[in-house]
Parts: sequence; C-alpha cells; structure tokens
Amino acid sequence: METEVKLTKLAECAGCGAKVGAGELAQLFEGFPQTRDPNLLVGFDHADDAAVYRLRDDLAIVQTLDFFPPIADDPFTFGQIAAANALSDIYAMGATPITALNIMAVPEDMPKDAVREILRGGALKVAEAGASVAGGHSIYDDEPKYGLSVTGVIDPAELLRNDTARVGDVLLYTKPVGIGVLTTALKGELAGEDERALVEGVMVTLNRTAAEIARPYRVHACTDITGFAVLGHALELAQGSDAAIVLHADAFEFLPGVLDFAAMGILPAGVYRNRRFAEAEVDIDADVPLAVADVLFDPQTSGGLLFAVDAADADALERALAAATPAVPAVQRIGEVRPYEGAARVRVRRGR
Amino acid sequence: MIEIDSFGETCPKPVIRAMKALQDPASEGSVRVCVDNTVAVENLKRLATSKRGTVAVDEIDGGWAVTIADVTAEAAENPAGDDAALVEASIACPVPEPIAVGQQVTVFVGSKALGQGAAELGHILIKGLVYAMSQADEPPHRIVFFNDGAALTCEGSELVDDVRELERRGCEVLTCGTCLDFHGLRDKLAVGGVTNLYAISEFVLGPDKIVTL
Repeated sequence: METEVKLTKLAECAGCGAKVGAGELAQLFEGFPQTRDPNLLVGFDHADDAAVYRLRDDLAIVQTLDFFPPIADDPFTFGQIAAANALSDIYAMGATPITALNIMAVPEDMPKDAVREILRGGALKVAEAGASVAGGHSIYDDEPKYGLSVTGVIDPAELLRNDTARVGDVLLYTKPVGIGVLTTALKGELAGEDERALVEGVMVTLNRTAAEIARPYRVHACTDITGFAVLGHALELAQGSDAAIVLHADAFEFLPGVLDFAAMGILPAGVYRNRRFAEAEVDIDADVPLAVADVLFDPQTSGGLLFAVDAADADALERALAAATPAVPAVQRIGEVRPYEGAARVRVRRGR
Repeated sequence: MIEIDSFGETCPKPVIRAMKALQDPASEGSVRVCVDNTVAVENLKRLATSKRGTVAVDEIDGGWAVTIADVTAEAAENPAGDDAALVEASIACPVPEPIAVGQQVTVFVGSKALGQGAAELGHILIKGLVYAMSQADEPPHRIVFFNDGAALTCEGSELVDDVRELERRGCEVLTCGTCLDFHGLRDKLAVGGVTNLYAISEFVLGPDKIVTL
C-alpha cells in the first residue's frame, strides 16, 4: 500500500541490526543468580533461540520475545517482517506457536492508519502461523518499534536445540544471505523497487514450511540466523556442540547486488559488531573476498533456519526443502560439522 | 578535494555522500569525510578500495577524517569498481550504423538492463551508457523511457543525475505515462516529462533516427 510515512527514516538502526552484540549480552548477564528449576530445559545460561519450560513429560512451553525499529518503509510490511522474525525462534526450536502478544512503541504524531497497518501485518503472519494474537502492550516513543512475544508448545523429546550438532552433520540453510546489506542499500536509495520487493518477500516468509519439512529427518540441531549473522550463529552452534564448523564460501546464495554493495562499504554497523564478537573464533581463508566475509557477518532480520542434519539424511532433506520453493526461499548446503581440534571453531574456505 | 562533515551520521549516509561527492568534477577525485564512528571509517575504506583510490585516516577532535584520493572519473561513476572495465567497454561500444550527418536521434529505453544476460550487469551497463551519452559531443535529440525502463527516471534510480545532465544539455527527456501508472510510479517521476503513445507514434514515424536499447 502507499503511505506518506517512510518508517525507516525514523529509525537509526534497522531490524536485527539494532540487536545488542552477543559478547555484550554475555557480560550483562554475568554473575546473575541462576535458577535451578529442573523443568527449565533451556534458559538463559544457554545462547539458544527461546526459553523452554517442561510442564509435563510430554509437553513443554517455548517462549520468545523479539522486537525492533522499522526495517521497511511500509507499515504493513514492517508488521509482517517483525512477526515472521518473532515466530522464527519458535520454529527454530521445532515447536508450534499457539499465542502471541504484541509489543509496540509509536511516536505520538504517527498517523493512526500507519499504526493499524503495522498491527495488521503482525496479525496476518500470526494467523498464517496458525496462532492467535492474545493481547499486547503499547507505549509512546520517538522511534517506532514493534515485535511480539510468542508462546509455542512442543514435546520435549522433539526439541531442536542449537548445542546438539554432531560431528559429520551437514549444514543446510534456507534463505538467501545479505538482508542487512540490501536493506541498508535501500535506505540509501541505492537499490531499486525490484530489490525491495525481493528482500521484503524473503523477510516476510515464515520459517514454518522449512521447520515442518525437516520434522521427519534426523536433524540434530537447529537455529535461526538473525542478528548475529551466519558466522555468529554458526559459532554458537559450534561452541554449544563442542565441535568445529567448516563453511563453504561459494555455496551461499546472496541476494542480488549484495556483494557489490558490500565492496562499496554499504555495510550496517551490525557487521562490525558481529565481526568483533566472533572474529577470534572464526578463521577466514585469505582467498575468500572481503565482501563475502563481510556479508557473512551481516545481521539477517527474519533470516532462515540453519539445520545440522545427519549426513545420511542430508540429500533427502535438501531435496525436500528445495521442492518447497518459494515457501523455503533458497536452500543452500553451506558446510559441515567437524571434530574440534583447537584453534578456530569456524573456518570459512573457498569452494562448495 | 571536497570536504564533507558527516558527524552524527550512521550506516549508509557517509558512504553515499562520499560517492556523490566523488562524482562531482569539483572533487577532482578526492574527498575528505569527517565522521564520528568507526563503522563509517571502515565503510569508507571499502569504498576507496572499490573505487581503486587511496585512503588515509587521521584522528581529529571527536572522530576521524577519512581522505579518499586518486579516484578516476570512470571509477567514481561505477557502482562497483571491479566492473569498471566492462562499463568502459559499453561506453566504447559504437552505435551499430553510421548516422547521416545532421540526422537527429531518438533513443528508446525499454528496460532497466542493457542487453540480455545477468540483470545486475545489464543495469551497470545501461547506467554506464546513459552517463556516456550525457557526456557525448552530440547528445541524443530525445530519449524516451518506456516499459520497465520507466523506473529509470523515477526516485530511487541511480540514473537520475545523468538523465538530468542529458536534459540540461538540450535532450528532450520523456517517460511513458501508461508505464508509470502500471508500476505505480506516476508521482515518483524525478526527471523529464510524461508522454503517451500518440506522441511516441509520431516520434517513431517522424524524421529522427530511432535507436532502441
């Protein structure tokens, strides 16, 4: 829809680029009392996508909260992206979303229609996920922000964690890479309407289909790639699983123009934050172009799912995901899990 | 050398301002950008590399001054330095048939890309060619943007400045109104006037030599 409000002009940092760095977060929470409730299966001592609490032997609730400043100019699109991004953490745990609460901050002078469109975008995606918007909370703020807290359910036996990858697993990823760079280029009016439609289409795509397709396969670990970028999330997967990861630079599918924009220095601040956090544990071969390395540190608002799947199931899962395009936007076999032998946890090398 | 004060500006802004300044002949291939965050410093260093220029970073009060120098006019115009040779090739590409002396040319642009193949490359090429035409000794008499090409004269197009230059040098710039409406771009037109198929039929049947890109 057409609107007078150009939302991204109101935001300093776009989408998941606004996320506090992983290293900073760990410092912030250091020394806090840890609960010892044995039913809290995944809590904040883990760098996982959502919290998981066991209610019964065969039932756990999964809780997550995600919100950020506008990453799209159109309020309806922004609402959809924020909701797809919030729901993604539930899918990354292998769970099914059931309810969602809106969280919103809006400038007092923002037209009511625009506010409504943001909420309508969110409601549309929550409905597409088969869940219900059950309420929410709004405040006034100079910079608009929107997101949701989503609750899902799962049988604890089916839980997909991000610290349980096994040596030999193949890594499959489900969305094209470079969302942060391309949205930055759009903000700078360097990319056109085709690119806008493409990147927004990727961001509003729910990870539901990918998660459902993966269910029957031997997926040992899963995470969604968002603010910490491909390399930050791969590093968490490797560290948590006490393994190493090798990524193949030429196996990635990048959004159009992204490598050119990266080479020109059209990079969001999150690239450097992520680089600082992960650099010490990431070894990038000298022949990998700087632009590719930068894009692998690029925050992916509403990115895809990263599966660590048993090598014996990898071909079948890859085919099944590819058959679901565009509901699964871009299936890439980006690397594999190796034994950890000291030195860097994640290595990026040329080739596929 | 053009000086830019980018204090208080984040992410794409300092780079975009530097890029635009480098395209200004007054810069003579160098800019000095004052920034207050390391992200901007790193992004400007990448810009310098992609434009095959030199870069120096000096600490100043409250931030850094990044000086980019020795950027050629061609490199300044190109979206990505690595494709400079390709764009040069497109600029050097001769018009297929010799044009009778004194005959005027109307150019039709029906796509955002020049030629078949990778859309991204095609866009780089058309940008290079429009720039070259804007600098030619004899710019075309008239240029008409139609179909997907209509977006090139609208807000958000990287070609707007070069098309303005064409217009300034006496070229009549027109965009197909039906096409603007179809793409919802009617109120986004940034350069030139709007035309229709009656006028276009007169151009096609008229005395001008017609070149369709």
